[in-house]
Amino acid sequence: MILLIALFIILMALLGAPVFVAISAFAILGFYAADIQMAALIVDIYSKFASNPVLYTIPIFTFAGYILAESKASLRIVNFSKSVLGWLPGGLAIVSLVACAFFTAFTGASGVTIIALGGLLYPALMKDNYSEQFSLGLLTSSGSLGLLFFPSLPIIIYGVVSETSITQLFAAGLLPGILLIILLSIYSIFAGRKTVTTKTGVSMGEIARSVNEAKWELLIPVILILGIFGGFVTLGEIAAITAAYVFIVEVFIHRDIKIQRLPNIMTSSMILVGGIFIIFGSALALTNYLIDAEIPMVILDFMQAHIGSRIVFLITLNIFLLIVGCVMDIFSALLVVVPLIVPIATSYEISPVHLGIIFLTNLEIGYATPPVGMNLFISCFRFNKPVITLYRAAIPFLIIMLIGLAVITYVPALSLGLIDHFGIK
Amino acid sequence: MNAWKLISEKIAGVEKVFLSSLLAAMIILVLIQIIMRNFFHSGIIGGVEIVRHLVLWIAFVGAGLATREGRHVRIDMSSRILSARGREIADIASTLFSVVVCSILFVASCKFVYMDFTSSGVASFLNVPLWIMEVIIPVGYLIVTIRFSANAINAILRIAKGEET
Repeated sequence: MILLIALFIILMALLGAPVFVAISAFAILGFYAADIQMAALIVDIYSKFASNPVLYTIPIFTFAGYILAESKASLRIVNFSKSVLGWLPGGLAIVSLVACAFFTAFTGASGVTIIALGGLLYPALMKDNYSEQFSLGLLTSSGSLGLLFFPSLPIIIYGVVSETSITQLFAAGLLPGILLIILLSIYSIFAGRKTVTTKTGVSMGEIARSVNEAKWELLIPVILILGIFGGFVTLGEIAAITAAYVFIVEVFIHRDIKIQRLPNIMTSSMILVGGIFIIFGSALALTNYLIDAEIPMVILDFMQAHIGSRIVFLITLNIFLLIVGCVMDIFSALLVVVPLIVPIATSYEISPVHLGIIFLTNLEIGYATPPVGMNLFISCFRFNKPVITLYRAAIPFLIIMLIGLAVITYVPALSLGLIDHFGIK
Repeated sequence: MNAWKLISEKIAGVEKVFLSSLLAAMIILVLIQIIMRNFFHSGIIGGVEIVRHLVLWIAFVGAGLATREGRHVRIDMSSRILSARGREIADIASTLFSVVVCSILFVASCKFVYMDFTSSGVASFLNVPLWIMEVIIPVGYLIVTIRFSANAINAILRIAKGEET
């Protein structure tokens, strides 16, 4: 009977019921089966909100990201990267990678990057004679690049769910994130060697001009790094300071955003947050139940009986997460899967911080993996191309990102080196 | 029918203003606390608690509006596989399912708030009764339930009309 209901819930989710409904239904089913009062489910949801010290950074950073996305910050960032990197072979492709990473860090791969930057970069790439296939693949896979850089929401959510230090996670994501950008840049230089670069050398005047234009945005990462690693303020406070700063820059200094448009931006960003948070509550209530029912222990016993070595476990983990990344959106995946996997990974001596970076890299790749990776459909909609074209376009980029994933997974020092070296807590 | 549409738009308008105010209040509160701590070595009593509850309110008011605008996260395999007619039916089935689940959550959260109502606990922020800080949970689930119900009714009516003509 229970099994039948569980299958029914899955069917409903596949037919289009919201993820939070499906997860709540599972939680209700579990509480019912264990004969626990339903009000206890709400107690679980409520206590997650009332006890979490960093949850409030999520709405604030999301708001800041939305302001940036609505302003002309994207144009200024692209111009700046162009003036510095544009002369390289494959320069414009590298510019795209860097600009997309910057944006995704703020907007958390909710598709905003492809929507906001795609319209700007795609025509420019085509004009510079990059092939259509290369340009589409580049923009589709860059749509989630930058997930590993702070203050990306998925990192914060991973920290919240796995109860890991978010400062450590931020530090851990830096080198792996840069590695992915470098790998993709190498490919871009290779693919771009036949393209016509419209520029021949570095012009100091142009760099100065573009830096001057983008100086306020370029200061944001500086503020974040000082704030997060400087130790003067808490993460929540740095979120509020960043939001206030971005607000002042885009509304009063650049005047990109009319004050009348602000309520719309606020509501739109908070609707996204509401959609994530309502999953958050139910998902954590569900995992509370699963842990009480000792489900992770059962999985753990099964894994330990069949998987002896750490390497085999990591390979299994990668394959499993790639599948998860294809079928689930990043937020639900984090909320549901992380609490179950952390204890298992710990038993194979994988630190939760390293696991987080592996996890997010996997999901980043899953986002652009056929047949159902979300970026493919966003691009399909944004560039008005058949999804099959995008499947083909994404493949070379996926292969490169998989190489990056392998390095990130099997070289823990890449993630943990900075933390150990600087003793970040 | 048009009157309904107008009323629901007005209500959504109020919710949006409220949602923006919650966010603004939260950011301003955190900024005030930074200033108070660094320059006056003091803080708002219960400030941490109120910020966490603002998050709770943002979550549930935002989720209510997400239901209206169809912005909930979905896995959504069906829309890529099914025909137009199949999609309509899948929509109705999954929406009715959502109505049932959210009703259960609504009832459960009413019980939860009632427990704190009878125990008359207060928050450290201005001694606000705890149940008031929590009341958005049942209200949020109620709004979500009502909107899903309206969506289901509309979809069924559409199909019924379509078949008559």
